[in-house]
Amino acid sequence: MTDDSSPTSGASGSSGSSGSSGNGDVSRRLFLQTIGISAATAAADRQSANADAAMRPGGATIIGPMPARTSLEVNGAPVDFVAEPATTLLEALRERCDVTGPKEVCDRAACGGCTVLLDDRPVASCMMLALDATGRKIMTVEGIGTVDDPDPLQVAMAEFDAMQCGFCTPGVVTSAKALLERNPRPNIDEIRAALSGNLCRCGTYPNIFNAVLVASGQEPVEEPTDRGQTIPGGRA
Amino acid sequence: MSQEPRALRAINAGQSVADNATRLEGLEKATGAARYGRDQIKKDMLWVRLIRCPWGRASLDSLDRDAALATPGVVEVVVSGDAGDYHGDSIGYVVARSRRSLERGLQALDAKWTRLDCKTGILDDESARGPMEEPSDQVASAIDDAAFTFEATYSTPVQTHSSLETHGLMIEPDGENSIVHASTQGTFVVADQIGRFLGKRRSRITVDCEHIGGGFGSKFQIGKEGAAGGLAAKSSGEAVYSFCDREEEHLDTGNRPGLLCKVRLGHDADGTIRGARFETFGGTGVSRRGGGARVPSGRFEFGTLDARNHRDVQFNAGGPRAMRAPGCPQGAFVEELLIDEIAHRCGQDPLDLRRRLDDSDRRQRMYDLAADLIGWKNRAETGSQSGTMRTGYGIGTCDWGKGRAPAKIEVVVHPDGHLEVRTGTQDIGTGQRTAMGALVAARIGVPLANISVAIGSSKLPAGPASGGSVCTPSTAPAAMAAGDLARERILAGVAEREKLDATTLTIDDGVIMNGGRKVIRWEDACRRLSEPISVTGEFDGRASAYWGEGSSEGVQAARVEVDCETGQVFVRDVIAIQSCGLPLVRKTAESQIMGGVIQGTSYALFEEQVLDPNTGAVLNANLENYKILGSEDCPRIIPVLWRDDQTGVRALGEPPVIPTAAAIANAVFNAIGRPVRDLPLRPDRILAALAEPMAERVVAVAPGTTERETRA
Ligand code: FES
Ligand code: FES
Repeated sequence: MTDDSSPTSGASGSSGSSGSSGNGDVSRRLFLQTIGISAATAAADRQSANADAAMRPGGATIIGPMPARTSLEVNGAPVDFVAEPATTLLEALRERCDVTGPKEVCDRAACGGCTVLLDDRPVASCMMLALDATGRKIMTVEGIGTVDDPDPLQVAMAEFDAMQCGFCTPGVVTSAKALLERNPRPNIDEIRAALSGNLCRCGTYPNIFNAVLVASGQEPVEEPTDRGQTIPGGRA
Repeated sequence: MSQEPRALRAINAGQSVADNATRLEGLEKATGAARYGRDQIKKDMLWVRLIRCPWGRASLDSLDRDAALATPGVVEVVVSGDAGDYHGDSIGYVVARSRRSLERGLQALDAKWTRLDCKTGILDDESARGPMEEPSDQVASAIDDAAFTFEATYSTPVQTHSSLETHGLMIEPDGENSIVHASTQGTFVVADQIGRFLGKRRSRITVDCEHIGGGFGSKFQIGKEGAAGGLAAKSSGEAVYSFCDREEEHLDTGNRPGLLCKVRLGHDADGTIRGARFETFGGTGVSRRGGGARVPSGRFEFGTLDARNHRDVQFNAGGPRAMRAPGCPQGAFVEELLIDEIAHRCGQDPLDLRRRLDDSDRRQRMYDLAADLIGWKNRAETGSQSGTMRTGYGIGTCDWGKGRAPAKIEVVVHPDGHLEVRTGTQDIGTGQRTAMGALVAARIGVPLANISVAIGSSKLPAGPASGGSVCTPSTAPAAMAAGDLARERILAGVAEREKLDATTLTIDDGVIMNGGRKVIRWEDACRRLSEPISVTGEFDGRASAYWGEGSSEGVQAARVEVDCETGQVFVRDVIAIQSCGLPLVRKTAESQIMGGVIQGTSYALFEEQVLDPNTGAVLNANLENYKILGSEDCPRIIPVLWRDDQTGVRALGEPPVIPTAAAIANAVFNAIGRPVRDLPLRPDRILAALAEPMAERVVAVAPGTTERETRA
């Protein structure tokens, strides 16, 4: 995955890709629902806004199975919603917070399309429960920069045409941003490694490498070319 | 590569209409602002999921419809069948208020199936397993007349499109109308198809697809997920969200079919091929058609031919759909590897043999450039290397026809000089939006900054689907015509006011000139308009001045390293030379070539859908076991935009994906001295090949020798 800190373990417990059609996803969610209770327990002390939390006689807080109030900090802004405890961070962002930059592509930690920064580290948001992200800083591609105020990395991505359909691009930008935060001048091999969890079906990798190199003040190497300038105001 | 390739800039500068333009929606995509169909999520909408068969063939014993309907949030359960003919086949669908209730509803449904015997591949067909049929008399005698005969069998796997945005659509009611946000390559196809399910007339439907997360040929029709979405929207009157999940995407949204190809041919000592018989078998799953492969392609001289002996083989799997150059990468793999095998048998350089068998002048020139850029002179004799890491060089070729379809483009000139280009076609990532904007800008003579492009809506002027590499070539003549009309309108006004001859006026970078003299800036000329003017350029789908002559051609060269201990193949460099008539936007054109090469490399090395021969279940319907090429496997690619005297715009989407796997397979053959005739070039296959004797030679290596050895 994008980073060794990504919470990918447990991904495979889910689906065992035997012939179980269509319901691999169902069983995975059941699995998440099951572990959701214990994971939520850990999250609970960070969870002051949880209206549905109940105290067990033993003292542990359980959340759910009914929908629970969840509070997140997304791109610097607090958001508050009620969702089942089994809701993944990706679902919460897309379906509750109207943050659709992170994409649902594989929903099982295989593609990096859903990458977000959790306390500055890249994680696959499809593999984590929203409740586990409470009290932590969540940043998505939208938080890295906007069309009117883009991050230099995003400008470089556009200039080097490091996208075609663009569906992988939010995840790529997020992983690359995390790389640049921890390594301001990555070489090409480090860039390849950092992006090895981000699949791009259109095949834009060489342009991505160059965009990351240039965004970190280095020369593009993969195919040495001066790509010209973004045309101001040229956007549709 | 021993010597660095020349800078791309030096190669491609000046080759396109818009050399420095960047993708118009680039920043929207890089900031997550671009909204795709799959991002159209509303608080209150219904979720749809199909009920699917879990085995290659199965009959439904029971399901608990009542329990599903009793699940909180489930609003509808539709069951319309009781058997499945492939893994992922559907027998109905469930509609619910949230994805959670949908999942619980499907569980409560508790479908129980009995697994039945099934067929799982081309080799379940007797004639595919059996020997070749006898060639026709002419071909038999041509083969007999030749000095040597050669016979071989090649195969390619099932490849899935694996678009990152899955198939599907979101339907939103809008009064009496419906807005359909679709992930599609065919805005107008969806508009035509969805009405039947929605129960609405075409005029009440707007299809919107401003951004599409990948479409490589499988996203023309609305599919079962779209049909179910339409039906659910009709029966509920509510907003409906119906997208496949990743597993469904692999199972039931089409694929590039697998191919088995048997060849027998007769060749002379100099590599001349006198006659050949090709038999092809295409795996079409449960579909009746669509397994064809283009082999031989017609690019090379094969003498007297028995071709088109094709058989589509049905078995229990999802059917194929068009995939980027349907039938071509698999055909090229067979044909190009075959040529390299013949060259090797005859002790010839495969590039030299190609030069003799190929009568395209353009490709002849491309061969020289490809050889130069890849460092062909460093290529060792096939099979001459020892040691663990061995380097190989290989060549592949392509061509692509001249498909065209009617298209309209509207250009609105605003009084502030701004130009709005309006086209209903879609930009699936090809850069269609930017290409149309850049072409209109160039035609008029204003900077691209003056232009905005509205695209991807059935409310906009009609144009073709993005398929067959037809979209840009067909919309380009319309854009040229629209640009010319807009330009003429403005110049006529200027000429009248300034009492000048409109035919002597030119526009250069936003300034209207008469001879060498500046007359007025574009913006100032437009300011005289009392209201926006609209012109529409039209291409009727027939040849015209804007259409021009010729088709697309290409040559690719690959350099690989093979680890002979592990069997791993590393693709290091790919030179991809591609003509596309008049290239429009350099960067997006380079991207398309690069994307073709990357998908072709992925096809050569990794991709393969695996069916369990016992149950017919697809064993890798996901992105961790169905491997597509990632950043660490990506070769260095030099996309070369070829431009000569062609004036029309030609195909660029499909041709670059055709030669790559062929070039890589040839490079592997060159490195290890044995052909690997089955894709993908998996480590186990490399190691198995290495355990075989070196590929046979029938003619001694020394140049000029014609000495014959025993007949094969
Ligand atoms: S890794 Fe989360 S959607 Fe693929
Ligand atoms: S740009 Fe389409 S998947 Fe990366």
